[in-house]
Amino acid sequence: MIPDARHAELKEAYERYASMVHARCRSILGSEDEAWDATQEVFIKLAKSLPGIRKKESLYSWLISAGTHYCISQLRKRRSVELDEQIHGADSGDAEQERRLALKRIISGLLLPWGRKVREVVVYAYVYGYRQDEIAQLTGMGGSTVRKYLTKFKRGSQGSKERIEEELNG
Amino acid sequence: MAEHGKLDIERYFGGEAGEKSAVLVREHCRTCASCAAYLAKLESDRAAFLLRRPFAAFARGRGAALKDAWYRRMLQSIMRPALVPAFATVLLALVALPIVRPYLEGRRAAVGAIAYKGDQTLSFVYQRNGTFMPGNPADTFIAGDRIQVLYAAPSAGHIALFSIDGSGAVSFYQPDARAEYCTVPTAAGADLAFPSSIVLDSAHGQELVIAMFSPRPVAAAVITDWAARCAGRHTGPRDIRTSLRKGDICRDCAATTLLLNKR
Repeated sequence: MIPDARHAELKEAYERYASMVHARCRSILGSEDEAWDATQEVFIKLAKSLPGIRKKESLYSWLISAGTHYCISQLRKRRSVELDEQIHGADSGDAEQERRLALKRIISGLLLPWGRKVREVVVYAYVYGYRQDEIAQLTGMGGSTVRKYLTKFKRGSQGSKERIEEELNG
Repeated sequence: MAEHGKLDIERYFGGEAGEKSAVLVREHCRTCASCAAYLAKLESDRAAFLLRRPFAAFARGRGAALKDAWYRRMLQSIMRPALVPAFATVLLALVALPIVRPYLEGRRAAVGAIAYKGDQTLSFVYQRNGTFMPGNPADTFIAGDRIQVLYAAPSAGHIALFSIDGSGAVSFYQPDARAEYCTVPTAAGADLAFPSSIVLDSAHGQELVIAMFSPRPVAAAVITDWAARCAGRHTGPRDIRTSLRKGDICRDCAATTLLLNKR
């Protein structure tokens, strides 16, 4: 069981944020079960980190960041064969599922070559749909840094727009 | 959602928005359909998620791995702010001990060298007219008294027992008078009896009995040479006793003394 001292605090955080963390993880991983695994991992990490988290009022930022990094690391691990199997095994009648898996492939292919901070900013902007000022709030980076990372990513991923559209539109 | 982005609404929904910000978001959602719909979606998603994945499911699943190891529970129970000074003291002691230890040992050795001169480690019993009595250095002894010296040896090694009288004459008390060395092997310990006893002669005055400890056997000539040097420098047994230092007689040797008064 979870230690009593942290149980109540963790339960409160879970009931407040778990659905949002899960949704974010699902948008990266594309699978309900994988998103649930990721959500659990994020809350396990939270349970361990709770005593050290000073700004409890910005727990959401912490959770989103932890979830994003965890999901990207999962993409890195499960790239290649497993990913292809899921894509080819997907029910062709479920458009939403196909769209998610395609997005997952895009994220894997385009994002992984970049550094941790760039990846985080790109996911916040293009997967979660946050504005640049919101990304700055969430990450604690300056607005110019966020802009710099996004520009860097766009320039470095020339031609990716067409590939993304191709993936999403089949 | 123009004025209030997703993040504002999510923070409001999570209860992280400040009071002022919460009022603004609430007001905004009354008039903005898209923001109101997003907020409603977050609420319905949460309700559906918690129905499907309640906290209990997490706690039973991967959350069960959060059970603390025994050592972590123990650490948590002892890591209290009130105990910080105690931990700091222990830490300081652990760091400082190896540094000051050689110094302390040097001091102890020096103290030990002085202690060798005292009477605490050299005691005796004596036999007079067939009767055994505990020895007291303050007593006055007579010719024929048989003195059995008891000593404490700090470590195993060799011991020599000899005396110097008022005339500077040295007497050895090793069991084998013909042996090259005047020392006998000794074990470490307290209240050890020297293998032979001292029979006092008729010479009057003081007699300084010296038990000399050495890590190796010592020849009688070493002691007689030392006694000869003392004769020129000191006025009598008491004077020799007062000035006796560790290593005076021979290297690595330490001595403890007993000053007897005879009549």
